[in-house]
Amino acid sequence: MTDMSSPPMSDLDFGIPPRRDRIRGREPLYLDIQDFLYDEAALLNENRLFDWLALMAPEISYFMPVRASRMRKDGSGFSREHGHFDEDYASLDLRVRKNATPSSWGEDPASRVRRYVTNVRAFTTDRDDEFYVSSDLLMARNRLSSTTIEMVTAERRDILRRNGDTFLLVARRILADQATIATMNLAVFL
Amino acid sequence: MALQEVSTLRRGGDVPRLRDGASLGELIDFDARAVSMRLLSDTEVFDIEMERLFGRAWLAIAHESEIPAIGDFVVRQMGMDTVLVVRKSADTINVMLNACTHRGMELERAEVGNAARFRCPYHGWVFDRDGAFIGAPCAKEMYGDGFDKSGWGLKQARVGSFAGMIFATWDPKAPTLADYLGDIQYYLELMFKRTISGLESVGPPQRWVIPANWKCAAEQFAGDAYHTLTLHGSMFELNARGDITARDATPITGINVSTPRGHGLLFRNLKNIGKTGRGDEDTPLEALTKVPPHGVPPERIADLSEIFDADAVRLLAESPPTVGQIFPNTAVMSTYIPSAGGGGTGPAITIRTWNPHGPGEIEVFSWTLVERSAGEDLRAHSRRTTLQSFGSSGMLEQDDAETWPSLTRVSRGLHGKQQWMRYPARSEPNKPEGWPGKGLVYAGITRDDNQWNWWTSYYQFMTNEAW
Repeated sequence: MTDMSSPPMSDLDFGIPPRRDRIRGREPLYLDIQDFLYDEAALLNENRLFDWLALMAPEISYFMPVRASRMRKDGSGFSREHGHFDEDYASLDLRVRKNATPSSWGEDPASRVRRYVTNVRAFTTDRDDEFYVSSDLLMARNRLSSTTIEMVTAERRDILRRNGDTFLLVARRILADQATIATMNLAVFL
Repeated sequence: MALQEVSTLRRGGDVPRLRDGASLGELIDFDARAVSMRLLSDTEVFDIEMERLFGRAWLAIAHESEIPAIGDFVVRQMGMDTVLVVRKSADTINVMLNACTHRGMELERAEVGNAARFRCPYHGWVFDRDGAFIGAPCAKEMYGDGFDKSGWGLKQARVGSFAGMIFATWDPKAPTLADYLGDIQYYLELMFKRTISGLESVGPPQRWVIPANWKCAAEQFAGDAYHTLTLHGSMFELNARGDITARDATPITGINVSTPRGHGLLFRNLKNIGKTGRGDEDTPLEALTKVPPHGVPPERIADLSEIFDADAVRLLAESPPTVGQIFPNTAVMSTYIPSAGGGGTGPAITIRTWNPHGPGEIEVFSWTLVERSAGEDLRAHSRRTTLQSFGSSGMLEQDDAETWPSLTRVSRGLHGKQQWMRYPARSEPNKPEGWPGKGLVYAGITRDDNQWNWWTSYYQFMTNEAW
């Protein structure tokens, strides 16, 4: 099947392995990958962060680059080095444990967050057990009695690795659409 | 006006009176050391702040490393205005209102780029890197032969720089940036000019919005060590470092310094802090080799005695400045903080500005800084530690972002706006013997003095008494 998307923007993969062949939506492997993303979003929505952490591979690389608006000739505007998140397993673990402390005021009361995961496209990589998955995310967040729902939208580029019946997240790149992030903090994962 | 005098300031200057008759002098109570919460949400007060404070003070807007090449520019905020920050030459940077002098469209809508000249997308008027008007399409047909191009240039701000950070002010009467920073500059150099090659910005700044009044963040960073015990209690509950108690770990036991114009810094007393690997007999340079200044590579420690005199090196070894506020809205930090890497601690170095979008919203610009001379590992550790603790996702700042909107919500109520923010914990300056710098120095328990001095400077600006 021909990939109908725009040409690969390898400069936005930030070091994750290149994608190869498209895994079509009717294949069981694609459906397994989609289930994984839905289950992962459910764990985050339900604030089951330790269970979410168990989906991370030990070498997880979780990066959300800062971006700035640029003219089209100047590229995407994503920073290669500066992130909103720039995490490994140890720092994700620290964040999850911080969230669970009694004085984690920023998320207690917890935000109500809905993560809409769509436009899932999966690809093989050079490793038989790893897959490149692009998905779109709409994160809608509400806090306290505010009537405002803060929204962050992004493309996510993930590397998933087979782990028995399911997968582990090896890498995630979060390519946000906003240059100025329209939520009071990123005390929530994307 | 010297700080000693303003600490006993009463009513002076051109005191603004609001439409309901209230005077700013009644809303800031120098006897009780209290500030009316009305100041956090009042739109009239906000308009006066834009004119008298953001229209006059030196404001940090960019880091030189963001615009290294000639023609590089970024678009930034000064108050509610956007400005072009343009590198004209190796040592000249211009700051100009990002508004065409013809009909007023923004010349640049991209925030980063490189331009030989700035061409308005609306009718095509063109300006050079100095902001001079150089031409327009069909100028002869439109404006005739005698069209005088002078007088159509972009509005210019005055520009200054400190340790790579670019500042600007709209006020032609403002003192130079060096005079504006004054006595705080000596201490800021210990935070941001500790190596010969200096710091650089890791890419463009993080930006995000917090639904709060900008003063909540600004006065807190001026010296509020007290809140760390409770608001940042999760960091002690995590016990990420394992070897420290809350009281030792927070700068509440450190030293506060205020200097004229309301600048303030907190200094850590490293002698009080658990395991540093240092011995009592270590010279300052030996101590700094064991625990380098935040983010400085150990092999660059020898630079310190070339850059600073012996007194300053000793201060850096024993009681380094760690966090503070350059009046009005530029927060600074260089500290060790709990980290997921590096054995549980790491350097966090950041400059950030609180840019108001109105009385109820802050757009935060947060630069992560790293030493140019740092190797890849230290650079990554420094960058990651900074993001983990501060900035949009920072674990400490997450909790601050809960506080500031809360204060702002309270200030909207009929009774809430009549409530006072109180700063009663007071010290007399007690400069330790041999302290090498100037300013009001409060050693021991850090109380409310720095924040009160910030509010005093705020009052001076709002009453047109800053200079």
